[in-house]
Amino acid sequence: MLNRKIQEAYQGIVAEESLKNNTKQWIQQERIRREQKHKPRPVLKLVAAISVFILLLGSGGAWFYFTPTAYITIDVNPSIELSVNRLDRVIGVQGQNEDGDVLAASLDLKGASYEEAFSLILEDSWIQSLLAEDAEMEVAVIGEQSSQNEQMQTALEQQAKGQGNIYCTSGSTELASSAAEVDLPLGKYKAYLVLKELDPSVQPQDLQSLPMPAIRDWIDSLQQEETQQEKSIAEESSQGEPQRNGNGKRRRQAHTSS
Amino acid sequence: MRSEAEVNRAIDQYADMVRRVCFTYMKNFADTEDIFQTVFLKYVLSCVEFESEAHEKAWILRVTINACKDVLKSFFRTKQVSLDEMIDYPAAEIEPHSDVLEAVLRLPAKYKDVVYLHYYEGYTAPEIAQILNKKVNTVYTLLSRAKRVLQKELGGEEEYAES
Repeated sequence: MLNRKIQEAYQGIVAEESLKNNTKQWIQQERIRREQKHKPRPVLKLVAAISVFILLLGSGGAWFYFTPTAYITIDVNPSIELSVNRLDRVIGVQGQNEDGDVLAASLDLKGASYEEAFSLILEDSWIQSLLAEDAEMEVAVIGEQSSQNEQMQTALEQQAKGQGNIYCTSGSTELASSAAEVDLPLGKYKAYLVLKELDPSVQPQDLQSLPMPAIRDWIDSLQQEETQQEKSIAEESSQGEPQRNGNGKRRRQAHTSS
Repeated sequence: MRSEAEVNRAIDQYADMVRRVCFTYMKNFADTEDIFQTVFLKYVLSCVEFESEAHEKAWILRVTINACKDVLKSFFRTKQVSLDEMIDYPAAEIEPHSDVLEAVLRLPAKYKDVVYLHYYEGYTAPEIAQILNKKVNTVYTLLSRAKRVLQKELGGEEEYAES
């Protein structure tokens, strides 16, 4: 049978021992050579480690510098927003409306401290003319770190002194979002929350067209009225005749008509 | 990378098989040594997880046959020998001591591997087709033609039973 004949013929062909041993030796040498080739040399290892360190330092530094920790919105129509990092440097300038885009494009504020940036904005001829015409500017510091917010608000208030109708405020991003939902600037929204405590019937739109001094007067008058009422109640209760007064709506009407 | 023990075990287990394939294809011992180094280096470096011994054996066979063909192609390119000349090139430096082996070595190259795989290693045509990456029908045809040539050369009356 062909099958058997071929098997018998090939049976005599076997690998020489020298061939097997030489192959084993060569493979072992080749394995060592390849392992050494892929093993990084000490100097290369050091260079690689330094490179990785620099890369990490660079990326960490970039993250540290380019992550905003606070925003300053300056609203005088034009409205712009400055992104400020933890080093108090301006890392972004964004127009909040069409005029804001024009103003943002005309100023070079990136890299400056937020105080320098605010000075440059106040010195801008367009802003100067608006403030000269008695336009009201609201400056709001928005951020999650209340200490940074307060520090920045104080610094901006100092700079704004004597410059016109500039009102500074600060708050968290959550508060700023709530203000945006009812279409009020942060300062007016905070005033609205105070007013609502004094008179629950107050609506956000009641404040929209009012200037800040008028809102402050409104708050003052309500607070005075409440103080007056508390005094009356105290006096009446001391005479043993409790008496109830009307509701808050009357108070609001009294203010708005004044 | 496979361990030294693994590759030594593979050399001990498959060296004879690799040697027979080399004997079928190669002209001299230097080429055979090259094939051994190529095949077992690929084995060391390969990440293939063998499911069984049969899988491992078939893998080594395929790598060996491909390595032999690569050497022949390389020889073919450098010496610019025609395909017909190459096919008829004497295959081994070991003197074949039987008429059967001489007849097998005289076969055209395309018949040699199927003859070896079927008649010596006992693979079926579908298995050979898988190892050589050929169509099953092509393997049947090659086996049938190889058998006719060998019968003619050896004067036998063997029949190829299709497995």
